[in-house]
Amino acid sequence: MILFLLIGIILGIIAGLIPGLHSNNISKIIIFLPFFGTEILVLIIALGITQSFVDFIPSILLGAPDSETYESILPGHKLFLKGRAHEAIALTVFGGILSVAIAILFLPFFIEFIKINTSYFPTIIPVVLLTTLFILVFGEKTRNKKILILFVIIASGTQGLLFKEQIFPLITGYFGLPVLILSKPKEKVKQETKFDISLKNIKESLTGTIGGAIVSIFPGIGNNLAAAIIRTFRQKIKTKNYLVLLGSINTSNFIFSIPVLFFLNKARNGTVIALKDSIFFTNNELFLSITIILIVSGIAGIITLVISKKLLKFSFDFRKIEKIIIFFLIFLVFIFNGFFGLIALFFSTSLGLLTNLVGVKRSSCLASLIIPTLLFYLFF
Amino acid sequence: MKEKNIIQICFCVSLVGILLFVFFYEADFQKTSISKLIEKEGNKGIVYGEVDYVISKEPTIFIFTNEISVKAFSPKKLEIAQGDKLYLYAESQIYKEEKELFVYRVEK
Repeated sequence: MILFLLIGIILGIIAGLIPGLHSNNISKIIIFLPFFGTEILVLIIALGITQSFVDFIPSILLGAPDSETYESILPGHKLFLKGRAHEAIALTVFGGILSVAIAILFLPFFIEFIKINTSYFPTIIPVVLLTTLFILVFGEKTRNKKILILFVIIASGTQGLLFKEQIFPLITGYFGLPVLILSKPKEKVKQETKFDISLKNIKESLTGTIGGAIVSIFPGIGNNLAAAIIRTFRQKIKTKNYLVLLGSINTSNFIFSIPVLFFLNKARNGTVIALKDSIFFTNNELFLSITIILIVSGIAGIITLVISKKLLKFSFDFRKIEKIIIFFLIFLVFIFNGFFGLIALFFSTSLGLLTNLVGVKRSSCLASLIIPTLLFYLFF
Repeated sequence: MKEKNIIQICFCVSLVGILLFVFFYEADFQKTSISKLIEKEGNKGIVYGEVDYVISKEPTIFIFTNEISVKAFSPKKLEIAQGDKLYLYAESQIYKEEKELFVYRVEK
């Protein structure tokens, strides 16, 4: 079991550090390996938890996107330019590790809640998704922006319907390439590795954990959209608080997706899909999952801080790295999704650039996931 | 809160996980041999072996062999055939005074 735990942690680090290589892709490969039961359970949980901590590193240091962390690119870069990139990463680790403690304490109530309300979810889900779209539109202040965001929602929703199996190119186009293309040449910034985080951030972690729980139940609403919605209601959320919130949502979403899989048999997180047909759903397995989450999250938090510190010691030519990442992402899209993926990438990047240039919420592009899900629940 | 404090929290969280695992976790299904599994009624485990002979398709009843042979019963229909090598998640039970395995799950 320890071997599978270590393999999971190593794969999680790799999945977290390489932009575009998501743990979903690795878990798709794991399905074909001859492991099952507790072996695969330990491996997948170690992989998912480690990745939920480590994947903030490329987002914050390089501005490279990931479907789970793209919201951290802007606040992360803000601190990067102030020479406090390590603090930005530490804030996400702080949020993540606190959310583990909070989520484990809330888990019995969460399990009871999903057990009692399972039958209502098919009715609630479209209402929640529609409300989310309304919040996105009416969260914008001016009439022009409301019209613009409505256009983005319709356009991305259409792209979501047209490019159904092309999630990676769509996410890369909406949230990754535009940031890299539009980023200004950065001067070398001396990075400070000492920081002092305020304990007031604990309440952000609590909010983030609740956000992660909601995301784990409802399909189509990702971590980033949940964070963006919370930000809509709290206009003055500070950059540091927002990073704690993002760290909490990312980790707690993975934690809550385990009981959702056990009790609803729904894989709301790409990583846990590999578990669906490979494990035996008993209370013992659930208890094992909780212990592995606790063990690995502590290790992953420390690993993330160590890697961040080591990377910041090197002197990078960030402009060159950004160019390499742009080509690397296009290459990955071609490898994973072929020529059709490149077409999806072209259209999604155009829309992503538009949202950046006109200054409407980038999360509105997630209508590409919400609208197909909404239509599924309303008509099928 | 400084970096060392965050590392301390991480360490404590991992420690709680390790303690819970060591003192409270007891695996439901662990790899074992057929002979050990059928020693006592109610034993659960994962056993590896070969399908020797399929007696009935639904419910699936078959003879499972590895060193010794035992009758295995699954209330659900299993897609198995003679000669298949597989892992069984099974519980030992006594049916009509004969030791047999109740199959929860099959992995090929």
